[in-house]
Amino acid sequence: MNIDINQMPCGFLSLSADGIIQSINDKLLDWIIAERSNTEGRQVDAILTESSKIFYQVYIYPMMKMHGKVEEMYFSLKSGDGSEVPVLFNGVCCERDGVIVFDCILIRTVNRHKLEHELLLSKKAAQQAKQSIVESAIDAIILANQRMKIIAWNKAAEELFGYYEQEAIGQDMEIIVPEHLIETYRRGVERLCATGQTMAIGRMVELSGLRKDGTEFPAEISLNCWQTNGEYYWSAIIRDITERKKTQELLLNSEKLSLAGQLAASIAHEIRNPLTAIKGFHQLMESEGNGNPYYFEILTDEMNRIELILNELLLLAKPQAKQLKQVNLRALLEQVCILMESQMHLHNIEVEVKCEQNVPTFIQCNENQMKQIFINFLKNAIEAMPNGGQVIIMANNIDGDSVLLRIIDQGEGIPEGRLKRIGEPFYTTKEKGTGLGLMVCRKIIEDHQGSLNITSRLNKGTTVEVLLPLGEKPQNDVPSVN
Amino acid sequence: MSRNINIIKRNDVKITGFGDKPIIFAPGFGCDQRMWRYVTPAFKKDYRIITFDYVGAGKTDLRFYDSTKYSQLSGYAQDLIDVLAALQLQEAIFVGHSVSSMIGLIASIQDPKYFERLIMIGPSPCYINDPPDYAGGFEISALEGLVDMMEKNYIQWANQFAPMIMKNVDRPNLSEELEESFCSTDPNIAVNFARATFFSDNRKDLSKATVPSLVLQCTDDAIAPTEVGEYIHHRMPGSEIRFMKATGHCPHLSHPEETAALIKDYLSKLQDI
Repeated sequence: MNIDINQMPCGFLSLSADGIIQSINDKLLDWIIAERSNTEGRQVDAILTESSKIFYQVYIYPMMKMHGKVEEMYFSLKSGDGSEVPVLFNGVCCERDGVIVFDCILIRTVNRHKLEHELLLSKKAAQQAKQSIVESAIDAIILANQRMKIIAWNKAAEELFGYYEQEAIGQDMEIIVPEHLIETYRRGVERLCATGQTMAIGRMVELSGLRKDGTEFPAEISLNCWQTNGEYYWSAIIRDITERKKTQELLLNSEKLSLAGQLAASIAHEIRNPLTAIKGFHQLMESEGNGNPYYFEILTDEMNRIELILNELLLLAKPQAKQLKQVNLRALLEQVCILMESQMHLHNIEVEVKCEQNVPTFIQCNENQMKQIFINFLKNAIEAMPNGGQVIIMANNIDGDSVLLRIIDQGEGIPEGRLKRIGEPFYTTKEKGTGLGLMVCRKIIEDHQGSLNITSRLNKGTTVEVLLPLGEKPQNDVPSVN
Repeated sequence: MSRNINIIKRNDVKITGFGDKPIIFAPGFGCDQRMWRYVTPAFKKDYRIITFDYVGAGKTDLRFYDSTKYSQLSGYAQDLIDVLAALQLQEAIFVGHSVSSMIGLIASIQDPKYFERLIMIGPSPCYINDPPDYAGGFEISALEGLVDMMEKNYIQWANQFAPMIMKNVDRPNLSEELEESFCSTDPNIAVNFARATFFSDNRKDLSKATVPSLVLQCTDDAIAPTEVGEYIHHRMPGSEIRFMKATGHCPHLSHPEETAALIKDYLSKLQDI
């Protein structure tokens, strides 16, 4: 049977036992961009790459000679244009007309270099894309190695912290940690190195950052950790939340102002009464030219009362530095009740604080904010009871770590549908409400690591539950509220 | 003695021939001792013929394969000395193909008592070009390409031989089939040998030779060009060079008659002296 090698759908080559090319088909010539006249009659080396020359001599040739065949060897040919043509090589040793020949079929395979080149290009593009995303991010992105040395610092980090990339790289992460947080930070890093875990991994935490110029700013930080070649690496995405904090502050203040405004009417009324008494007795003393010690006692009492109420009012309205201090919640509640008493009386409402003497109620809190939330809850209770009634405030310990406060009214209650929406900004059921009160309350409670829960039954009343973590017991006794 | 037996098994040593004078054939890179099968019959009558394989090739015991030891030509030279010592042979004629020529030279420098003559077929002390004084024939990139090609053929190797080894677990004629599949060295081992071979530089060893030698230089040898053969001849004391009509790098396969005749001619002249 005679086969026309040029009709074959693959490369074909016939070699003598000496490795001389006896015949070669058009397809193969086409692949390697060569002329028949330059290949037939020459050593096969002429169409081999440098690497494949060795491979042919030490591997393929001995195998064909000894084993009689070679199957599916990866091989490469040299093309006329200098490039490499990768092929799969199949050869068989046979006898034709009494002479040993090697008949070889070559199948073209994927051009590995081209493929690798494309792969490299796309890898580079992906790398560049990643780079540009990191560089153009609005948030500061910082990478650190296992020893917490900074290894990457983007544009936003430069703007946020004031260090240039070249200044920051190689520095310890501590350069962006404010002095008062450094101990906490070091403990965190220690724990992280020991256990590979930290509270902050994978979620946003609010902390503060330190700029090069020494100023501090509130920051929201999300940390991530990954492992490459057995080493841990960290990424921190940091956002400046100064603006957001300001907005929150404004919101709190506006709420305070609105509260103060609403309280003003009753307080004015409250102040007018003692003032009338003062005026009267004062006039009497003036006309009689002497003083009755009993009047003075009343005068002093009433004056003190004015002072107390005015002080409370002033505290609420005035912006305060946020300082946490140890506060006895029971005393605080009693103070709030005094403040609200007149309004309660106006609406025929009685308030009772039920708290056993031995129940610890010391908490770490911002006193004014705490007062603000209880005023809010009491006001709500008052408004819920237009026909008067009783408000009970209870304080219990549900475990050794927290205190649960319940403010129970006998008011109209809140329908189920509305209950769900309570606490949403600007959602209000009241005619003159701002829809901010409960939202602010919730925010304050959460800032104190507490939680807020409201249950209600229509026409039976509403119970507000505030769970707050207990502070450490003070060494000395009760630091009073005022 | 048990160590000797172990080495004979380890290196798959075979002894044939009817003469007394020992002649040991060492295979080059790529194949095993069966490469010598066209040449050895010519020596049967007058010599004791020893063929063997380096650990890792042919049917040697792979439990002795140590990738660190066999990453240097000295590791292979140790195999050669081990075989000669185990057989208690001295003053043997050594015939080495390609890289085995250098392995023989290294062994003869280390322990000359085992060697009487070195016959080097297609030797090269260094395959890498080192301009301006030395042209080994290859750039490093070409040799890296070779290693890559061998690694690429791992799949081919695995496809072809692994099933055969698998199915032979319960078959007694395993050895016969494996015998057919010589040159089937595990590519990991082959790559290690390739690196030891093609990235070595033994030019400085040439002058240390203490045993007379013959260089057989092929025509059109792409691996060991004529200039390289001449380089060796000029620098190796006591060396002769013969230019073969044979082409390529494996004259013992392609031109066994000429190869055997030249070796015999060289050895006969020796006896005349």
